Amino acid sequence: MKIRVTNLLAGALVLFSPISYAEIDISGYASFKAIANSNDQKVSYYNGLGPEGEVNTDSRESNIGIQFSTDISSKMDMTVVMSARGGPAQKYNFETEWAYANYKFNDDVSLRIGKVKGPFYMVSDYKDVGYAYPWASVPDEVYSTNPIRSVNGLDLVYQKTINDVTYLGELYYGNGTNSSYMLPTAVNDINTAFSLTGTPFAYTATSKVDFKTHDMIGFNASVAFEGMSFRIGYFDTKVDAFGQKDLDGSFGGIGMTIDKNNFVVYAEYIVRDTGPGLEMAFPDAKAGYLTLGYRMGDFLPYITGAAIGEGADKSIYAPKQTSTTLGLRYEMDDAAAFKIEAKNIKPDSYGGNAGGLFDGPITEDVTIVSVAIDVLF
Amino acid sequence: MKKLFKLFTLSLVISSLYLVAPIANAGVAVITHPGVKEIGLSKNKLAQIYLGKIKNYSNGKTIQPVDLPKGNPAQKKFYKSVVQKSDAAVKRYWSKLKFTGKGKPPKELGSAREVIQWVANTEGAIGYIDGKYLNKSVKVVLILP
Repeated sequence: MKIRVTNLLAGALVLFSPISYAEIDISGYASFKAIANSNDQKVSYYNGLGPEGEVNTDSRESNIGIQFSTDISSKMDMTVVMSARGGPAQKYNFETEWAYANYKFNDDVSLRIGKVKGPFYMVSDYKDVGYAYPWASVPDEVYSTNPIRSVNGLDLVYQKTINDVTYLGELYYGNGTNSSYMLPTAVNDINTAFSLTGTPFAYTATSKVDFKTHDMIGFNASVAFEGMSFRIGYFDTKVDAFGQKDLDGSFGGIGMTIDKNNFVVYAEYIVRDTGPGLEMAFPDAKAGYLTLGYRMGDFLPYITGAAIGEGADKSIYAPKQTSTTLGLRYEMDDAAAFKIEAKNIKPDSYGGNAGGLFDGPITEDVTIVSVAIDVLF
Repeated sequence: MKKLFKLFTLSLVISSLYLVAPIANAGVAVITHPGVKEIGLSKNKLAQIYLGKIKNYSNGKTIQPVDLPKGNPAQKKFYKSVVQKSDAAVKRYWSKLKFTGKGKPPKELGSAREVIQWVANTEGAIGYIDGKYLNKSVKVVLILP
């Protein structure tokens, strides 16, 4: 794994070095995580955690991203982000995560065309940049509900600061090819329901389901002032999955952050609403969290309460759990943060199949301890 | 008498310049390209420029801010007194914007000499340097003592 990353890095540097000083800005981010849990019931957790209290040093959430950007003219620039992720399925293979051209109509309005980041929830478009937020892991209760990473299409962005208030408005349209990790019960049920012949889905720790999104349309808007920000976002998409076409999915959310006088608050509430055909893999859900923290010099201790539950249409497939997380962020220097957190999860088992965001039936609380190092370069 | 008064005023102005000069040299000078006609560049406005929130001068021309590297004494003073954020907070702020493609931090140059040269030659440029590197190629808009 190390060899792959360094090879690619070296390759990229060689490739770009002749013009890098003048033309191409190269920067990046990386998060490396180790996770352990207290669970002895042989089930694994959403974020790729191994069962039976093993320490998992190859987390799905570990990632490294390298961003290349260059100005083509005073009106246009281009950005490519290559990223490599950990975990048994992804093995730190680099792929093109985002690639887009950005055209500036003026200093406030620009249009991005290509494979752009989706501002689906509050931190969705920088979820990989661990350095940018307090947590070791983004609250799974909210962020597990949206498996879509990018939009192939258009993203119109308006940004303006008037009298110390910064306004952001974003409209996007496009489609995408995505895949999501599945819970084993959902996989089994899907196989039965759609009678997939040939090679039915067999669950392993690396099981993923492929799906396509198209006619996706959404917006993201926020106002920020005096260390506070408030955002609202919504998107609607058609989904082709499990041999079916044009299934419906919509995702909406509101959120806020405060980082002022050493007090840190992050709060978010989201609603996922899906139509027939998606209720097993992506059932209706409501989820939210509240994080409270206090900066003490280089230390930021924080506490998060989070929950996910049934949405509008009640479903036995809806993941239900509540959690409390205690964490600490430490600024190692001005481009690296060390984080440790302990998340106590109370899964609410349904039908004896699986509980919460776990892969199998579970009847006890589980504590997950994560250690992360987030860097910028 | 009028002539004498003029002379007196002139000498006052000159002596005050001499008085100001050593103070300027001791502080950090915020400088712009000589063509920048902006008046009233307050600390708050400068902070917003360096956080990418204000992108244009009041005449609509694009602002081109330039930074010194972290750890440079003038950089420390400027960020403490004007932007009023720690290096880590600034890094967090830009990491969100940079990696979502919604903004990029000011251009960074290696030394005061490079900054003054770049500001002198770039339309709309604004920078800051230790006052002792000042010369006439740029315009001083604010002194941070």
